[in-house]
Amino acid sequence: MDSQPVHANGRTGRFDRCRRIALVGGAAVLTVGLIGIGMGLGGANAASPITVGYIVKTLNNPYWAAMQKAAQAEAKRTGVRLIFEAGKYDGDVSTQISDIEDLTTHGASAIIIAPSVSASVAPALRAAKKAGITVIAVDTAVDPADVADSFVATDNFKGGVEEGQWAKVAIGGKKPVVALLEGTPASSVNTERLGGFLKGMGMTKSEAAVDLITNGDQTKALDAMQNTLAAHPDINLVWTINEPAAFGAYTAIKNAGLVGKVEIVTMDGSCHGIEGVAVGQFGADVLQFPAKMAQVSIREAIEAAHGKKIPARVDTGEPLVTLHPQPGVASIPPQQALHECWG
Amino acid sequence: MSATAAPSPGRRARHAAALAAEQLRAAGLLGPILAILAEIAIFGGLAPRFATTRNFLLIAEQAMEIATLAIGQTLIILVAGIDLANGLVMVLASVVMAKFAVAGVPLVVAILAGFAVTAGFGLVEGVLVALIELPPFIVTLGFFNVALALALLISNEASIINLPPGLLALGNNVSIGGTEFPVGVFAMLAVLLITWYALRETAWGRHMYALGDNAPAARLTGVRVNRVLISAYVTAGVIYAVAALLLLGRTTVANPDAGQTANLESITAAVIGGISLFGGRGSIVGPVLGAFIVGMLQNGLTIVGVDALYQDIAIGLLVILAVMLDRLQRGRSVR
Amino acid sequence: MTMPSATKPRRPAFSPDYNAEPVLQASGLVKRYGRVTALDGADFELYPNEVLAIVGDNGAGKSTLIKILSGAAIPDAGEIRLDGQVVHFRNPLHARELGIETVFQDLALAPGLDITSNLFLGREERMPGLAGRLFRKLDKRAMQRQAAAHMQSLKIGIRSMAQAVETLSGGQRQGVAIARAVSWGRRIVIMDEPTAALGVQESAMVLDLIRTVRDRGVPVVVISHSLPQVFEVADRIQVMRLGRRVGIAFPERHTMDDVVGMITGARAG
Repeated sequence: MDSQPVHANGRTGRFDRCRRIALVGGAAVLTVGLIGIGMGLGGANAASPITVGYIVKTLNNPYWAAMQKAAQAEAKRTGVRLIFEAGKYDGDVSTQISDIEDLTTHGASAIIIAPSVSASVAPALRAAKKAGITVIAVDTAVDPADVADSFVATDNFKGGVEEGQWAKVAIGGKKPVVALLEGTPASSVNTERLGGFLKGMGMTKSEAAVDLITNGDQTKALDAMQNTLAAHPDINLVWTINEPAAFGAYTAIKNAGLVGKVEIVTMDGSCHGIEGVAVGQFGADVLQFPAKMAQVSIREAIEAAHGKKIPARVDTGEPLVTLHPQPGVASIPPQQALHECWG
Repeated sequence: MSATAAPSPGRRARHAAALAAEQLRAAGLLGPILAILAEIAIFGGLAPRFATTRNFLLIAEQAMEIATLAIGQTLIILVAGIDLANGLVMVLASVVMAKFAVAGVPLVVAILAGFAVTAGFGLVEGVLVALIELPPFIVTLGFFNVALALALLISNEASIINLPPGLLALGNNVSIGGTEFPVGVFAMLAVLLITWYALRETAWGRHMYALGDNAPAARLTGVRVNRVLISAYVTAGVIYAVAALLLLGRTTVANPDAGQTANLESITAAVIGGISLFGGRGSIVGPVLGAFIVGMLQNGLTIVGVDALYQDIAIGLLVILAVMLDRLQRGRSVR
Repeated sequence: MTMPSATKPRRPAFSPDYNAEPVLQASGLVKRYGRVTALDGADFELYPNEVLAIVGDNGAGKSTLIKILSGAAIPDAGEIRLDGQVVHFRNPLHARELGIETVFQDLALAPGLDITSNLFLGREERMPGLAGRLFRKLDKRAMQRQAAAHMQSLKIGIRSMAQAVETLSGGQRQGVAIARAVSWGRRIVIMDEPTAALGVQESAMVLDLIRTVRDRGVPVVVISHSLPQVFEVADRIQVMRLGRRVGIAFPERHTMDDVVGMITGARAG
């Protein structure tokens, strides 16, 4: 071999030695780092008696981020060891299933989960229950529902009823020309909220002038609403599955110059959405309390760990927020809601 | 010290071990195997319930879908391509199979329909890459969106549930000697075995490696380059349909929102397993090991109680570490 | 200084047969690339048992001539005859089928594959019986044996046929590429600048190999820039200039200065 090889790109052997040392050093640092993560973050609080695994749909969403914050605060307050996991994106139920399995292996006292796909998590949760773990569902039910020992969530149907009751009175004597901006058709949230709204309005789905699918996406809702207004300029009431859809609908209404002529009702309860109510973009918004779901579910986990029975269903509340209260329909003003909203 | 004395058994064993290690190193598998052993040592030390047969079988079940996708992905990477669509093609197949099955179509036909979809996608991709000479990155990126849209369309944007048990068969366990083995893992191993044999023992395998290593050379020596290229994409497609059955078995529904990150996960598994992204190099066993390395990391970290966000950091570090180590042990002469 | 003929290697058993019909012959070849005329009525003959060198300055048409003779390019005019019969090469594969093997400058080897695989690339052998027919299993051991025997007969010194080509030196790789060209019983081997990237020792090895190939009865066409090497290995030299053949030289009769003169046009061929 040559004594000091010079390569085609002009570098000498010394450069290669330096690079080699850098590679070995870098690899060593990374290895130590990986082990450190495992030991440091995992090993902490090992003496805590109660471990709770909390699995949400994804961390890329302010709703779940709000829930995470509240869960971690509650865990700290009560001395519970919290392991917080999530899917990589909304719909990634494979990761959630793996998380349930691994938390079962770990030996958690309870698993609290908001499943991305209600039916997919049932087998793993059953195995967890068999191992003596308490299973609590938050925000979204498991399918079948009895796999969970407790379900802590908004009553979406009730919230929809409130929307409908408010809208019916708010519209006054006018004949309601209704546009429905639905989310994902087979989702239970969509079915319940819409069903409640129709009941509160006293109407059937077929009586709506327009029925569109938006998947709760703001852009889709905007496009759908624009097309609707072009075909039905007499729309005066829009029901939206959630706030992103509501914002999309409002933009379309604004672009069409119909502000004030169309009433929008929605549900979610983020501070961003409540501001929309406060400035008159939305007629009514129904609050959800992800933080309360986190607190209630963790407290239930502690109780169950002590052998106490926990309720099968906890309704975390769904007050209606509006600038224009209507007689006979309970509501709270936006100013008050701004203290209770999330995000 | 007679020169003709037979070497002692200890010496022979060490010699054999050194030979085996060298073979593994040349195949790019030594690093991944050492990584698995290291993970077992570390997590086994941190959590007593990690190093159990039951947990290892669990890891296999958690990793088998990505491992299968990685086998198909590797075929395409070997011929100097890349597949960004494989996750969604798998999901589309699962949706098609489910939709047919729920509509009452006989199970076998429903499953074959899924295979037809993935093989069809592979055929079109292969033709675009081989005959129209479009870059694989762009072609498969486009098909990612096509498959996603079709999956949402056919499923009506909602999960298809209440599937017939036959469709979910790969999610079951089979009892062998008192232990429950996931059936899907055997399916993945079957795919690995067949692909390994084809790449190692047939002319097609030689042509695949030659094509990825030096395509002009392959063409000049009479390898039917276009045919081999297209066959790589179609074969990968068939493998993705198997992954679709694994997905259905594990999640029991056909969910059009699934598979969004599976493309990168399968590429990660391949890279960690020693496959060169330039093509023409690496053993097909590597990507499966790579999938297990990542799966074992996630499993171990969750059992030890690490939050999701930090797990993502760990996986990112792992990939960089794997590439560094691969570089070190293979030297600079190999690209 | 000219290369004295006394240092030329001894003449082999088979001498070039200039009375026989040319193995490969071309006349009046024309090839244009846009406005550039690469070949302007070029001629060519290759006789049995000879090493023919093609020399010329850059742009003289050497590469184009080789491309046409190996089937990589189709002439705009002119005729090619193989063993007296008119032929039209459709592509390199077709030329190869008719017996013309070309070793290109970049060798066309797959570096990651071993020597045996490279030698048999595109012509792999399967195991006999069911294993070969149904499972399409390769007969690796047989191929390796043949590869080793073949390389040995060409006196190329490589220890293991299982070595990856990228672990070989430049000269050894050239040996593998030449061995592949010769191994399939071809009628003609064409080599494009075989020693261009090699040092003194390895060049000598390749020149030896070229002679060995000729001695096996396969005529060789060599393009080269190195006149000393040409004078050492070639039986006959064809000089190209401005797209035509301007002269033929014999190392025994002419000097290197003569050939240089033909290349530059100072001297007529």
